Amino acid sequence: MASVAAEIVLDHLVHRWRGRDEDALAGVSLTIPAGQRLGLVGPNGAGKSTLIAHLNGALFATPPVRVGGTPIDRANVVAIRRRVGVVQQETDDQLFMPTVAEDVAFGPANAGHPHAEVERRVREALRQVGASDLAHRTHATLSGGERRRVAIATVLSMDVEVLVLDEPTSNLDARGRRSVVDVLRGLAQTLVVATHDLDLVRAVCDRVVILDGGRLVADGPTAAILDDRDQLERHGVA
Amino acid sequence: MSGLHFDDTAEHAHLHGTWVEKLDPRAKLVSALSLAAWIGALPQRHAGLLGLVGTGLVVVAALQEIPPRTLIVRASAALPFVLVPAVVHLLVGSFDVATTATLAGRAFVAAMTVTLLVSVTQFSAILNAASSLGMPDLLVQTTALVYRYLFLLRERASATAASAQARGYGVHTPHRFAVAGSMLGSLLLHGLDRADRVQSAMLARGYTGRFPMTRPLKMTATDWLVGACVTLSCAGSLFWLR
Repeated sequence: MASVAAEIVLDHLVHRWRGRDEDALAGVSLTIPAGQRLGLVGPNGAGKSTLIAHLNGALFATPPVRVGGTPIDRANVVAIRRRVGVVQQETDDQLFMPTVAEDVAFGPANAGHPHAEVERRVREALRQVGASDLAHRTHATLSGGERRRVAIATVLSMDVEVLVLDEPTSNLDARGRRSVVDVLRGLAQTLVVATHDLDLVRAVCDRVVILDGGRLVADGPTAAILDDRDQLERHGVA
Repeated sequence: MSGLHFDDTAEHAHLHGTWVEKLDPRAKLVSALSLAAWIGALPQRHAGLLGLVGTGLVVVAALQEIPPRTLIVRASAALPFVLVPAVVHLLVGSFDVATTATLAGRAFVAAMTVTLLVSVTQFSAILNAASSLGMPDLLVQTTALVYRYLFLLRERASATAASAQARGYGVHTPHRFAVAGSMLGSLLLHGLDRADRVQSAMLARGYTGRFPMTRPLKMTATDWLVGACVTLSCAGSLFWLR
C-alpha cells in the first residue's frame, strides 16, 4: 500500500519548551533510513514525545528535520503530514469520528481523494490491521487492542511512508499487546516507535536509540542495545 | 461534514433499517424543523392539536420499535428548562395558567420531535445534513466536538468524583464547595489539554478547518416527497388555522 521512500534526517535537533530552563532536546542528530524500524526508548521526560512532535510538523526546528529530503517547515507541513503519520498514545484523542470507518476515512478524505478511493483505502487499512469487521463500530465499543489497531489504521489509510507511534502498547492486556505487535511486524513503512515496552522493541524494531535528558546516549542494533543491561539501567530504561 | 458522537451502538441499538431510518437525513431534518416551527407557531386557541401531534409522534416511534416510554421520558428532560421560567412568569402574573400549560405542551412535543429525529438518525448524519443544508461549518464542528467530548468529559468527571470520594470527600468535608470548585477547575484544564491533543491528531491527518464529507448524501424521490409533504402540511395547516 505505502511506498517506503522517506529517509528522516535530524541534524542537531534542539528544542526548549517555553518557561523551561533546560532543553527538551539538546542537539539530537539521527538519520533513519527508509524502511527502518526504530525503537525510541528513554525514561519519562527524556524528550521522546518532543522528538515525535518534530517528525510531522507539530513543532518546527532550525535547521529543519528532513523527510525524504524535504524540510519540515510551515510551507511543507501539509505535504509532510501526508507522508508521516503519528499515532498518539491516547486512542481517545486519536479516534474522534463517530464510527471506525469514518475515523479511518478522515485522513484520505481531507487529502481530497474521491469517495471511491477513500473507501478503498479504508477497506485496505482496516484489512492491514485485522479490523475489517469493526468498520461500523464506534470506538466506545472497542477493546483496548482494537482501539489501538484502529488508531493505526487511521494513519495507514493516508498511505504514509513513515509511521510514528507513541507508546502503542500502553494499557493493553497481553492479547491486545500481541495483536498490536503482529500488526506492526506486518507493516512495510518506516517505523518510529517511542515506548517503554522493551519486549515490543525487541519484537518489532531492528535499531534502538536511547534518549536521556534530551540527548541521544546510545544507538545501535536492537539486540546489542537491549542486551546491555547496565546501560539500560543507567539511563532509566530498565 | 460528518459529525461526531459518543456511542452510536448504545444510542442506536434499535436501528433496524426501517423506511424512516433509511430516509435521507436532510429530509428528516427539514421535516423535524418544520414540525418544530409549526409547534411554536400554532395559535394558542388550537393548542389541543399538540396532543394529536404528540400521539402521532408516539405512533411513528412505535412503528420504529422505539418504546413510547423512552420517547416520553427523554422528551421530559426539556420540560424543566421551559417550566421554570414559565412558572416564574405565572407567579409574577405575566402568564396565566393556560399560557403556561400551552408553553409546557409546546416544549414537550417539540422535544418529542427532536428525540424521535435523533432516535432514527445517527447524530453524525444529522450534522452531515445540517452542513449540506447550509449550517456554518464552525457551528457544525463545534456541535460535533461538544457532542463527542461531552461524554468523555462526563467519564472524567465520574473518575474525579470517585477518586475524591475514595479519599473521604463528602458532605462533611471542610470547605466542601471550595474543593468542588478546584475539582471543576482541574476538570476544565484536563478538557483543554484533551482538546489540544485532539486538535493535534486532527492536524496530523490533514485537517484544514473543515470536516470532510465521508458519507455522501443522496435524496431519492421518497425523500423529496416526505420532506415536501411534512413541510407543506405544516405551512398549509398554519395558514388554515390562523
